[in-house]
Amino acid sequence: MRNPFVRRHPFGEEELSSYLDRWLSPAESARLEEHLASCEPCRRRLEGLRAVVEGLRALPSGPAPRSFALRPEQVEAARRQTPVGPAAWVQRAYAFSPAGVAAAALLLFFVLVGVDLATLGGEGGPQSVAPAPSAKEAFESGRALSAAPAPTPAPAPPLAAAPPTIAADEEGRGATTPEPTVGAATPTEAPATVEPPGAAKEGGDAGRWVLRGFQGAAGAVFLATIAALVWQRRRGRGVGRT
Amino acid sequence: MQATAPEDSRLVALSQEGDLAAFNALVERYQGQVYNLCWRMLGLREAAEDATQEAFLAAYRNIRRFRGPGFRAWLLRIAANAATDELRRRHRRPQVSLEAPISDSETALDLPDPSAGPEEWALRREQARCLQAALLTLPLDQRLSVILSDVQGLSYEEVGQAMGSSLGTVKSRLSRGRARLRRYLLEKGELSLPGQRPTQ
Repeated sequence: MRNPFVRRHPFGEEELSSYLDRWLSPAESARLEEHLASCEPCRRRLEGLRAVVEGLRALPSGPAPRSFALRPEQVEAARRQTPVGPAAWVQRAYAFSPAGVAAAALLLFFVLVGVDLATLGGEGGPQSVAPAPSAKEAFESGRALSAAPAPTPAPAPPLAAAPPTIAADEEGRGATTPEPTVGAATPTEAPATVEPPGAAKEGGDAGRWVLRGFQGAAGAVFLATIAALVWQRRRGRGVGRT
Repeated sequence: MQATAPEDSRLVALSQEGDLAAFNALVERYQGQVYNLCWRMLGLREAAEDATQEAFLAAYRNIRRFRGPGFRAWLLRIAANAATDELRRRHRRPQVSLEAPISDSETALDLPDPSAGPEEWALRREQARCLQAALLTLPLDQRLSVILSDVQGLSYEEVGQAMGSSLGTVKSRLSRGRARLRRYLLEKGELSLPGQRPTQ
């Protein structure tokens, strides 16, 4: 339901103001004039606005009280304030559109998260991400579970023994790689060529923490840029502000 | 859109190459408008002078970035920013209250044509003083649009360029600013409607 005032006076301040500036279409102007002919309050509002505009237009615009021509020393002082070298580079970097910086930071964040997830899947591999059992397997295992006590899972082999290594034991038994035909590797050389799995895991962890550090930094840049955008919008930054 | 005048274009091109004399020719041409805008925005002579000087320095520093279309609107935008910065600076470190009543020395710009009779002269002066006080009560965006459009006589398009706003936003700010001025002057009993008191 419309406000009774609006129903009685359908033309707002914006229409009245545009009418004064002849910005209404002929049809809108005709409708407004028709309304004004029968509405004293709207006529008074329009006349009030007209008086304001005429008063503003009649305000005197005097000459400048002095010359504002720039002197060479003023220009030189302003130039000295303009940073050079790394400071100028930083200023140019900040001259990029904040929206562009925010978008780039967000994109980088998602790329890093993607890399992180992909790495997580690769490392977990057969240990952490077991293939899902088929429906038949699930049914059969369910029947077996109901028929027999739940089997305790076999203890996982020690991590260090899991992957086959060149130096399986002192005699070379159980080695999966063929014996070298020329120049057998000495026991001291073998561990040097293959990184112990524990060390690889530690390296992977360190890499992941670095990756997450970058993720955090990208996220922080994104949030900071959004905050700067909001602040800048409120402040009304524009041309000529350096 | 208001394009840059041919003479301005030549001076702007020379200024972009670092010709200070050409830039100062532009300063001489526009300093009255820039100073008037700053004075109407701030209401203080000293603050308006500081803002005007800062605006021309900023314009000189940034003139290489100017690509058109209208030099006047671009310059007035810089002036509006300089005036806004000056206003904020003075609010942070108030030496003279910006809300204080405008003194006679501050209304020097509002002195009407002395050729009018003494009574008419006094009336116009009082009206100008009231309008300036009313302008200072407006929010900055409405104040700027009213000054650019009604005091300085810029077209809606030029006001839009100078404020970096769309035509619709300009119309809206202008109408709200005018309506607010009308209410303020009505409350103060200073609005002269036809048949009550002459406005000119």
